[in-house]
Amino acid sequence: MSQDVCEEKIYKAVFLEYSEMLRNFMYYKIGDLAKAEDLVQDAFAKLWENCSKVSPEKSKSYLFTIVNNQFLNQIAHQKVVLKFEGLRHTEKDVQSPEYLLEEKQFKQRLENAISQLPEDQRIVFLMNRIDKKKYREIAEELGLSVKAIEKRMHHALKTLKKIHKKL
Amino acid sequence: MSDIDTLYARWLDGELSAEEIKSLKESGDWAELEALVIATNSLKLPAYDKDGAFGKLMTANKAKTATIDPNAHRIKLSTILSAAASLLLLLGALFFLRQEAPDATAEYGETINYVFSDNSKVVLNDGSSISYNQDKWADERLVKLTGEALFDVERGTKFIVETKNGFIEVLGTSFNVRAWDRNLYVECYHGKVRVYANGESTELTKLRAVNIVNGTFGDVEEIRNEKPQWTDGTSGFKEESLNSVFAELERQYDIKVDMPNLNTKFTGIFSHDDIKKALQQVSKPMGLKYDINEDLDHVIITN
Repeated sequence: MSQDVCEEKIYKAVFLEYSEMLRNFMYYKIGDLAKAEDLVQDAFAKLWENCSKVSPEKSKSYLFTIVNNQFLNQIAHQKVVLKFEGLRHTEKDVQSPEYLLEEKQFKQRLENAISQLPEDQRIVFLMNRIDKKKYREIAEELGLSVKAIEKRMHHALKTLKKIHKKL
Repeated sequence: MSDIDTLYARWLDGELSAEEIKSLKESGDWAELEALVIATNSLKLPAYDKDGAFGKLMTANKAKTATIDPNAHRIKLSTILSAAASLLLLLGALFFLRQEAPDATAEYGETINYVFSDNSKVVLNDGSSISYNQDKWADERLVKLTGEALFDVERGTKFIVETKNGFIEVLGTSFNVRAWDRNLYVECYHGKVRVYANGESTELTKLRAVNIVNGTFGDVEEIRNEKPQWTDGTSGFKEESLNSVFAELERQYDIKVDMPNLNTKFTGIFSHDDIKKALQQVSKPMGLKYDINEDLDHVIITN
């Protein structure tokens, strides 16, 4: 017997598996964490409504489609300002005040730089850097080819490299 | 744009050979890009409380599905059956679309007779329940069923019975449906029905049946039985006067029933194995009360 999303146990498993990556994805896109989390809740509510029509295997792409559509319906494109945790200047563990200040400034600049990336590049870049996803996975989720993801990543790196040079 | 750049992109996908990595490191961009990659390696977003979010989600889901919106299920069917006479359907579905607050539930060991506002009726077999949107009943008669039930449908707008495995649209007179687990087995006893599952549909005429396994329709086949087994051991009535129903009850249980003179009709069944259960089955949907003595041989019906 195959599993069914209408079963709360399965539904929960799907939620635990995909909710965070969806929330992150929406954050990269709109730069509003609370809103991103709301959209994820809405998408999962839709999945629950249609649980008999969506298999657990199809749930992921279904959810990605839903969050994207909800976004289009709700929010006009606006300037995105992303904030991150754990951004580090170097791998060295330095604690001097000068270093900490330098790190803070660096963090801000890099956040700005990432925020300024065109949306499609920004999303792909962060899905790889934060969610540690392979391009194949990102391609599948966004409904694009692996080549397209590689290209976006390449452009993102090129842009960030220029910005990083100035830092 | 150089090849080196796409090498970096591919490097971040972990798809480079040792040789390619070597040439990457020899490139002029290495220092900056490596620094960038290091800086973003430990990039994180604030923690996400998945369990908390799920709890909220389920609370909202359950509140929402307590009242059913038939439109949410996108059933668009023609209204062929406006000419249909009052009909009798037997339906069964062990599993149902979703757990919802049902409008009528037959606990294990009991059978419930339920009357809709348009005088359509349903007899629920034990462990079964139905839910529907009362507000929209006039526009679309959509009943969701868990378990097994006998329907008697009044003439009117389309009448749909939804189960997890598919749904049944009433076209003509009477039919029998059983949905077990992944199977949907529909038998048509009288008239015509149309069965929908997995985006397909098929029409059944008298004494024809179809089995649908995991959404795949089997061949339409002939049936010989005249009624489903679960109605064995019961007395069934369709638009029968209450006097006759209680007369049958007196015969079945060898009891005396005193009742006021009621000019109402009863549709439903009562069981032969439990007098209290049988009394409940008849009196409850009719809004009557019953009193039975200790020896279980005299019943007084009041309204």
